[in-house]
Amino acid sequence: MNWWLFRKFIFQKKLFTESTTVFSIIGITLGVAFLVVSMAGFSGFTESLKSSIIDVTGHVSVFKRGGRIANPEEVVQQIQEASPEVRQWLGFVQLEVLVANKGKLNAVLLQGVDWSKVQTMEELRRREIDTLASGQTGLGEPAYLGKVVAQRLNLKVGDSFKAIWPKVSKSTATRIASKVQNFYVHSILDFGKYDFNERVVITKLEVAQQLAEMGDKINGFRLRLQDSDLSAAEAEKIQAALGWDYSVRDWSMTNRSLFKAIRYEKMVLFFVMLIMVIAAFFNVSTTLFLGVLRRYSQISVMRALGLKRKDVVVLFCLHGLALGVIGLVFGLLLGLLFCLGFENLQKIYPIMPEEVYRMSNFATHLEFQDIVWVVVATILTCFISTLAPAFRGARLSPVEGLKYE
Amino acid sequence: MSSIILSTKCITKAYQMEGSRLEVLKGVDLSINQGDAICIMGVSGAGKSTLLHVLGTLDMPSLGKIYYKGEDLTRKTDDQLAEFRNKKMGFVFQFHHLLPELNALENVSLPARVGGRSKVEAEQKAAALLDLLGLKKRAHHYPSELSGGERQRVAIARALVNDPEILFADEPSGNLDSENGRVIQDLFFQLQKDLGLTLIVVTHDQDFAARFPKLFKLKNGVFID
Repeated sequence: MNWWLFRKFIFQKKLFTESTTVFSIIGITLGVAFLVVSMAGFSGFTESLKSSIIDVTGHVSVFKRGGRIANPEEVVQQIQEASPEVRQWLGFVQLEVLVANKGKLNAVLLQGVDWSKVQTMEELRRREIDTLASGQTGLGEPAYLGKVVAQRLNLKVGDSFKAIWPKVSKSTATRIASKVQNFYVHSILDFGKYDFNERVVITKLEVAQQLAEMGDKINGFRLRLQDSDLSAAEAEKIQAALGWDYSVRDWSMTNRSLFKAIRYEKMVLFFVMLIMVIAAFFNVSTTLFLGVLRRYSQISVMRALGLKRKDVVVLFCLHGLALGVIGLVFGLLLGLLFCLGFENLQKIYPIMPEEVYRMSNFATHLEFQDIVWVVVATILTCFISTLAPAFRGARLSPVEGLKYE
Repeated sequence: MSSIILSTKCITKAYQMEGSRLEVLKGVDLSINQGDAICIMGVSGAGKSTLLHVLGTLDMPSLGKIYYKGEDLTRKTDDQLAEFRNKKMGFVFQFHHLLPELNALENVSLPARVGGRSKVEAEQKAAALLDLLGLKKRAHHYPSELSGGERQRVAIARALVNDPEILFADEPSGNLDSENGRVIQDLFFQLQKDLGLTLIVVTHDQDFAARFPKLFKLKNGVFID
């Protein structure tokens, strides 16, 4: 291909200021931008959900089936031997309790964890909405509350509340003896997921153990790995090492069907949005058809001077691709801009009803493979849209265009 | 004795128009020697431009053969003919048909660039031709900045840039005033003589036609005496 001719033929200021060209580029830009936003939205939603789950449950959770773990150190050793990927472990106790404040009552999942570790965990620190100043305390034991729990009980940091553990007697099914513990709100957290925000309260391990009368025993471990992508594989290794007395679950097993549904929805939305891009490329076809008509005389002259048919095809295909690439670049930039705008807008206005979507906000996240799909789909669609006008141009008789000035 | 460079055998060109068949050329036989300057003359609609297009391989005959030095051009593919035109033929049209986005130098170098020659080589040759035709100072002017006569001289330079063996011209002075037309006509004869070109011109201008040593008169698609 003669690049000089292509440059002279295609990159003319006049050509790019024609209204058909401008509208073609705007069409592609908007189509690509919406494609980018939808992909980034779905990826961001998935990422936010994943991050929210991992921050609360860790990459892998280990439970003792039908019982409590009496020998945590030995189990930890077995876990570490089975999976060198484990970079952090956190033993926990969890029990269903009722929390009460000023006549309001809420059922929550009280989690007792190693308090010294919790206070240095970046995953929880970054989710803090409000926290007590260093050195400040309240009445009772410290607790981290999900933001919905705090809202329902009308609690602020420093406020005190009670947790009631209903202890069902083993001998008399009808008799319930409750245990009460006083807590104060150390921090209010936004776990990023409504289910956690309305359910989770975190406190010291020994406090939970005492409330549940468990002694030194724990319910399980939350494990963090070096690489979250290895969660499923490492969970299998740990399960094999610990045997079937233990239940080992990686983070993706929680909400597995939701993640699957999101993946399918993302795929469907990609094709729906691609229809917009395809529609935009009809404009490119029209622009090129008009270009063929407008340049009938020029094509004829160049054919008379020796330009081959295949060169005419390449010339118009490259013209279309140039429009496509310009639209694609603008579309990617506009898409990123929309993503940034969407994230900032969420901070000002709550766009998503939390009770419905189980998340109040999510970060947009554009994955490299999404960009590759958008680029490949756009270029391919663009190329296909150029073929009909390009072959039309190549089929023109050189003679007809030479008859008139 | 001169050798035959271009010849036709029983060329017929017909068009299908709304169910009827319109024959523009009706069995034209023609032999042109290398270095000849011939004129094809006729009134409007006689078929002279069609014959020129067929001879220049811009259009294919419905029937008959065209030979270049004995080689049957009607058997070549479209792309082979494009390459053949680029290397062996030059064209000057009634309307200059210069590309408006290119300046004079770029317009002249266009066939050379299409033929694969480098920018430097093509522009050196184009500059030399523009100089030869007295347009050295107009090399970087765009067609819209040139007069009618100058545009046609640029078009002649463009036709010559690949050193063609045959130069075709379709009413080359038809769109110019008499003074400029005369200059262009003189230029054709001068170039034909200096470069040893085979010149095939189509015109209905009797004065111009009278200056050619060989004249073919076309009427209703056939040559007449």
